[in-house]
Amino acid sequence: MAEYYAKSLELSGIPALTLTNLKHAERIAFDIGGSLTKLAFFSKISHKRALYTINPNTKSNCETEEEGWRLHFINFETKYIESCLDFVKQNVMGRSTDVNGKIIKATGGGAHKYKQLINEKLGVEISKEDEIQCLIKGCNFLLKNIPDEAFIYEKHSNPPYKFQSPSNQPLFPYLLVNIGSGVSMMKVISDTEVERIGGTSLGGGSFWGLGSLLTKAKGFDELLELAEKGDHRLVDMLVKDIYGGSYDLIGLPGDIIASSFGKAARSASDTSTHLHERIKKGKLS
Amino acid sequence: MSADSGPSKPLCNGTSTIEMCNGYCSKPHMPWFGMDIGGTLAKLVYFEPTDVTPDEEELEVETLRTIRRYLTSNVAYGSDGVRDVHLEMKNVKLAGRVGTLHFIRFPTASMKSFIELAKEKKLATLADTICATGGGAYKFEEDFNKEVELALHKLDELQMLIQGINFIDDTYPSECFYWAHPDDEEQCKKVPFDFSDPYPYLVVNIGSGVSIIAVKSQGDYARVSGTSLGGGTFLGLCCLLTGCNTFEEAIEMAAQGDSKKVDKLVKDIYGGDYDKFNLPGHVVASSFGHMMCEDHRKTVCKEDLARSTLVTITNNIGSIARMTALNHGINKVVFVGNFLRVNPIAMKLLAYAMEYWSKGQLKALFLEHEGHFGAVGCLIELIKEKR
Repeated sequence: MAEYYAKSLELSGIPALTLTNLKHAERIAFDIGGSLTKLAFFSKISHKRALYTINPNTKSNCETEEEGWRLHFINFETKYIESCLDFVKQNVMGRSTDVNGKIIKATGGGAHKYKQLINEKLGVEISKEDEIQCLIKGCNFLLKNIPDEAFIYEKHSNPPYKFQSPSNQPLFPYLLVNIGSGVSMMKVISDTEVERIGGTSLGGGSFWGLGSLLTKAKGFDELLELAEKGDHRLVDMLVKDIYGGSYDLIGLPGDIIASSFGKAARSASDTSTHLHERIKKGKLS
Repeated sequence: MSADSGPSKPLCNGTSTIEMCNGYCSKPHMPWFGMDIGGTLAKLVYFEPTDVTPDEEELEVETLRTIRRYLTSNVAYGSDGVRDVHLEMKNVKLAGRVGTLHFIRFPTASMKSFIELAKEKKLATLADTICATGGGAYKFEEDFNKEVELALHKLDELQMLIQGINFIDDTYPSECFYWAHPDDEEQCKKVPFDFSDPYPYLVVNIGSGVSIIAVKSQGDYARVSGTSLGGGTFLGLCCLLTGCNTFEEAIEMAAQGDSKKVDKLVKDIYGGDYDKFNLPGHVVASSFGHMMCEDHRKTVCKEDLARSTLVTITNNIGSIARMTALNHGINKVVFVGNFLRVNPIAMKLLAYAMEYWSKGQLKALFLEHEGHFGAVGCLIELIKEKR
């Protein structure tokens, strides 16, 4: 389910419909991260809606056309930011009336780093918004308004994904773990109050970086595909590899990883093609 | 011995064979060993008696003498056994004897060779059990039983670790130390730390994996956290990334590398410091974060990759240790384990990170005998046993 939502589109093969939507974008915002830049825009679109009651006398249509707002998301690697800005300029900036003022809101580390570049390319000022404030504003907005936004994953359930609807339960406080290139862990207290209480440098960027070094995969998506096929138990040292079974005294079952990549030193000379897949799985865990 | 039991039997002083022993042992049979069989390394501690009287020497059984000579006259055993001579402890008093403690290690992967050796040296004629800890004490128990005809007295690794630390710290001068000025190459040095009033303290045992134990008082300890990203991870990843084969090679490479070419720093993302959360530009935001980019991959060498692996693993352990210490209200954190052997880079990094992120509230402490405490704990346990 989640894979369907998150399927990405190749920018070159962008369907005409999406392009039209971009051309009619009312508002655009950027989040320029360490590895990826996220673009969000909304545009007015027409869509058909099915009618469930039909008046046989008037012979009206069984569908109606409506206008609504749609929120779109585009991702691309930050290293291609220049090309992307050119693309945005061609498709959006040309229309002087539609862009909401001459200020575009942006966040992320790149909002600081690329401020100048964006100004040059698009002729607009960047209003730098705080990354964390934007993050919780966005999270809170989606959690409160979009059904099936939040979900729980239960490995042994069927289906494993359980989607949650916005409820009347109090949202705050909650712990927000933002896994980007690196990881920030934040305590969200209210719509505006947040405290960064921890983090780690072992994030998505580490997986992508190590994966690029250890396998021949080209790109993040291919790494994930490899990982799905791999068996980490051939690369990681499990408790049972050390104890011959579980470590009962402290309640560690035999299948738990005792030392990630703990077996890799011995199989470093193993040149089998499956090694790549095994390693990928090892790193994801 | 009661006076009523007829003609008195001489006490066995532990230097005879099991067969010749009359069952009245005042001490456990020599040789006195402790073993800790971990995921990657097996550690052996051997007590060599140096107070052997001429009478005792005469009575000493050939087998025992052979073992004693084999262990003490070599510093390398087979192709990968090593005796850490610099860690030797002389004039150690144990159960009424005086002797030298020898610290030996070999890869757990060579356990089969060790078992063969024990069989060849007829260890079973001298001792009926060996006190052993670590996962291997369970994993190889059957092999010891079958091949060497020895029973392994299995002991818990955490209990033995704490017991070993207590004994060595009481016995070896300047066992405990910290690093002063860890981030300054010129001024950095080891300073002895008085660990005689230790409680409460945290032990971070960095072996193949990591266990974190909170020790509140004598006998009151528990494993409170850990991570699978340990020494085994460092070695495994280094071997895969650089083609090296041993821990020493990996450390050597890391010493010459520059991790900043491999890791993405805060300033690489922000163009400077991230002030809102007090993250200075030089802090690592994403380990290996430059490596998805082919251009960057071309500019780094093996040494840089090894360095980054070392830094990543070490900082992650430091971070978890710090958070655990905070959660338990403990401000002394002792790092042990063979990951820190010949690894001053990691030690100094841990020392610096603990101090920096805790603003001086936490102290990173280290022990000279690194990863040998589990084996020592077993030796102590052996001596405690009454026959």
